[in-house]
Amino acid sequence: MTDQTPPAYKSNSAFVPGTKMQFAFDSVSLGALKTCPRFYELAIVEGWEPRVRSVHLTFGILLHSARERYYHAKAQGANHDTALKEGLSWLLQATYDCDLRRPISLEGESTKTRLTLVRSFVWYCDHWRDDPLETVQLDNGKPAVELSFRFETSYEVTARGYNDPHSDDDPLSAGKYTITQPVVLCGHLDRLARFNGKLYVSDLKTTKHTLDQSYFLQFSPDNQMSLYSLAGQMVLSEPIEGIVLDAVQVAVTFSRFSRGIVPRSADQLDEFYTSLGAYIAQAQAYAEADFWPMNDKACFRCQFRNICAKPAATRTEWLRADFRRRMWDPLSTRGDI
Amino acid sequence: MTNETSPVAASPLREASALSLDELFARFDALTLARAHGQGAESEALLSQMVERLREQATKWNADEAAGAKRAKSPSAAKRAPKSDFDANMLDDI
Repeated sequence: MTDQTPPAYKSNSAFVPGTKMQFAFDSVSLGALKTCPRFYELAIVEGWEPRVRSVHLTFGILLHSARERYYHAKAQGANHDTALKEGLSWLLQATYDCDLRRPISLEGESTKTRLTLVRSFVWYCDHWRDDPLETVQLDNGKPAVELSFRFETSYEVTARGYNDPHSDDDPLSAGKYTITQPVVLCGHLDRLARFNGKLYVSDLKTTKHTLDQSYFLQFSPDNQMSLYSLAGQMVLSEPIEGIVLDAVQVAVTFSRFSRGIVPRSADQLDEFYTSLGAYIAQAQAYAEADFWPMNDKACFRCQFRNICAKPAATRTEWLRADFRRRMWDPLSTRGDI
Repeated sequence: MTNETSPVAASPLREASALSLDELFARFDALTLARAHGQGAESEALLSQMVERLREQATKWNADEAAGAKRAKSPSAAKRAPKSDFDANMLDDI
């Protein structure tokens, strides 16, 4: 194989250009890889997603975004009620479709409706009105919420690709090439907060389940929490104490709130990081073989279960019928409202 | 014939205090629609009323829950306390 200069990177691509080798991983794509290689191939490499987005995902994103508006307004000097109404106004507008002249559809789960979303937001802000966690202010004066991060790891991927000499890419790069690329970890931290002088990553979760000890125990171990803890250690100028998890139990008639700390020791983060290297090596092997094996012990409630149950030759047609292509971009940034 | 503005949305803002939460939502949506069509609209009073309604709900819920917790402390209630509904496959959790 001839080594040649690879084409310029697309700034929004987490993959080595011209290959199926991912080099920038966030908790979603890493979690997909860990769950099932085939799931990873379909959801991340090929970018298939259900035509109707999960109500749970929509609900969570909207609640996060409204809370972000609330923190931004407070950081700009607004009092609690003014900031609350700013977030509420945004939330109501975000859940109304002006083209269809009706609220957006939040179907499929009786507890997650527009009303329970708005109620959860208002009750949450009121519940934590005198929050002992103080949102960190960034140097630019903005609150540290929905904070995008990315950092290089000590791991690398080596990808081989081929550029079509007739494409619009730089003709000098046409032909076969190999490239070694440092692996990047990236993502978004909900909020950085200080408590008793110590720094925490604060995360927000919604659930219909009871907020007892078992609920918080499910996050140790947990891919996302470990990645966020590691990110906190890597990208901040001071060590973080752990993750503070704000949980919202959303029911038909009420929303309940609880807060728990998800600790991560240095040993635990070392183990997570070592395991990461093994998973990256697996991802490289799958990409080189262009084959992502099915983990048929992870099919319970998988969105692709019906696809994988079909004969292999017909799966693409079924995917086109029930899913749409939308590439997940771990390198997209947030926190810029 | 299509009626683009609901009767609820057409009522004056000063009556917001008499509206239910659903009606407040509908009124706000009408304002959102008006804004989308370039018409300025004041929504502050509606938002204040919504927050007030939701706080009333919270107060009632908290009172009911406190009363329920008090009842649950009785020896007879403890025997029928519900178990945790924790499920290892909480895939709806975001």
